[in-house]
Amino acid sequence: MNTELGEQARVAFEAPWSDEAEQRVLAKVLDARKSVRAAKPSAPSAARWRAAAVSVAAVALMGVAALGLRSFARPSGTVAAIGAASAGARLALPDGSEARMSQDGQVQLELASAQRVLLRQQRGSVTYRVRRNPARSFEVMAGSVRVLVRGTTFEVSMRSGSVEVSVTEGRVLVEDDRTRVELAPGEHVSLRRADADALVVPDGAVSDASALTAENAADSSVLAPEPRRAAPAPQALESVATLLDRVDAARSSGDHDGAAAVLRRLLARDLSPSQRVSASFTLARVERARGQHRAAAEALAECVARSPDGPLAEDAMAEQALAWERVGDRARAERAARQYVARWPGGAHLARLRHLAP
Amino acid sequence: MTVLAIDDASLVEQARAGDDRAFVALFKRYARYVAGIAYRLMGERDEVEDVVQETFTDASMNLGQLRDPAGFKSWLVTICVRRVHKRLARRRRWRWFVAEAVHYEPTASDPEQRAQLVALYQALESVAVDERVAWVLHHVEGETLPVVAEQCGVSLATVKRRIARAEEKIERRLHEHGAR
Repeated sequence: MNTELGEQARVAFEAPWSDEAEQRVLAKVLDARKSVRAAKPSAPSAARWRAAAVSVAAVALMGVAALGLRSFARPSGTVAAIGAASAGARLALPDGSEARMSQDGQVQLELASAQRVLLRQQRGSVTYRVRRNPARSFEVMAGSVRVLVRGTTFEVSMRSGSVEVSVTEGRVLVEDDRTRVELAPGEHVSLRRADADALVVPDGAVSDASALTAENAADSSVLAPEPRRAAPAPQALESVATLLDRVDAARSSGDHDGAAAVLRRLLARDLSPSQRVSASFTLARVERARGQHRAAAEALAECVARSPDGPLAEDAMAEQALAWERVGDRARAERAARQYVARWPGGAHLARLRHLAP
Repeated sequence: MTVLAIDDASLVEQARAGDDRAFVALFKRYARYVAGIAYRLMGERDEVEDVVQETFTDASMNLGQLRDPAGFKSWLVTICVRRVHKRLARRRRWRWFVAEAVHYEPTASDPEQRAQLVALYQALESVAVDERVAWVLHHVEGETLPVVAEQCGVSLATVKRRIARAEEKIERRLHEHGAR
């Protein structure tokens, strides 16, 4: 009797859990995870990188170079940081890549895994020589600017109001909230730092308008040796953060039409990949709330296509199947459901898709 | 082409190395599951999100202590049970599904079955927290006795005793209320 009733209870009282609850809780957990990581570095990676840095320091000291190894696993939260009191200090990374400090450069390792290396440059100039590895992303954050690398040599210089990136070999993608530029060897770009008070265009800045959109030309410029011309004047433009705030406000007040309009404006901008995926996912929810299931399905398909391994991919694929079903396109719904089942055989949405992919 | 899901052990190893995407994958895989257990243990929805958050935050902080990465799911339940236990122990009066059953529409639409469930959770009010947690894990969540013992952090014999005592009290209550 107890077991029978227990089973009934399990079926009858399903978890009060929704996608919104999941996103809400996940954001809090990730914040806590970040705080904990900052306060107490992950032992394995910290040790590995610390060991790498220490070995580098030993070699450098033998070579009389004055290495300014300022801190490793500092109480302030640095996972592994290296700074250079003089030019030439070098941080060798375990995968064969290296960061060479100059002009008081300082860089901090934030994340190291087989899939991703994330370094945060704190100041000065650092030249990175990155070992090519298609399976691993290599990112450098310099203030609000992100540099994505596959395998190349480039330099990042942090100024008071801007971040400059120059490429020696290979190609890099440089982006911030407004701009995304791919640089080839010999090119360099200067982006305004979001944390700077005023627009800064370095002396001798030359803008290559063909590489930029009209919107981001206001605060960025691609630098090349010749010819020189004046930087464009700043334009009043709502930031991505402002637009996202407007989306949230519209959604919370039930203004789904307004939210959809702002989201479409946002998606017309030059967003970072993660911002674009997040905005598309939000648009899909808004369109679903408006009863626009085809638009929702298309937005979800874009989420999956742009970030097939991202944190939203599983939800997007499941919701996409259900959205196509609501449109009445059974074939697409079943195809998306089958893809979901194949991709996430233990996924959280299996029960909801069972009727589409038995 | 079939893409196989990454197993828990691999995700745990990656999350330990600081890979947030791996941790997010684990969260997405088990958040609903943990929410369900918390809900059925707590008997109310108000605190479910808090318990899920606490459970995964604890898990994130202590991933390095998990000896068997493949046992992540069970370990997660252990953390959840500990968190729920603390919350239940703080309560002066248990608020089980009784109120919930009135407002919440369970999947069971059969009025008789619904009445039985309400009676069951009324009966659970008379059971001590330790006994109730063990009983719910075993009979509601369907966990085996050894697993329940591990999740409760006690011996198998203790779990058997707790479940037996809970069953006795529940049976008695159900008879008194004529629910059977």
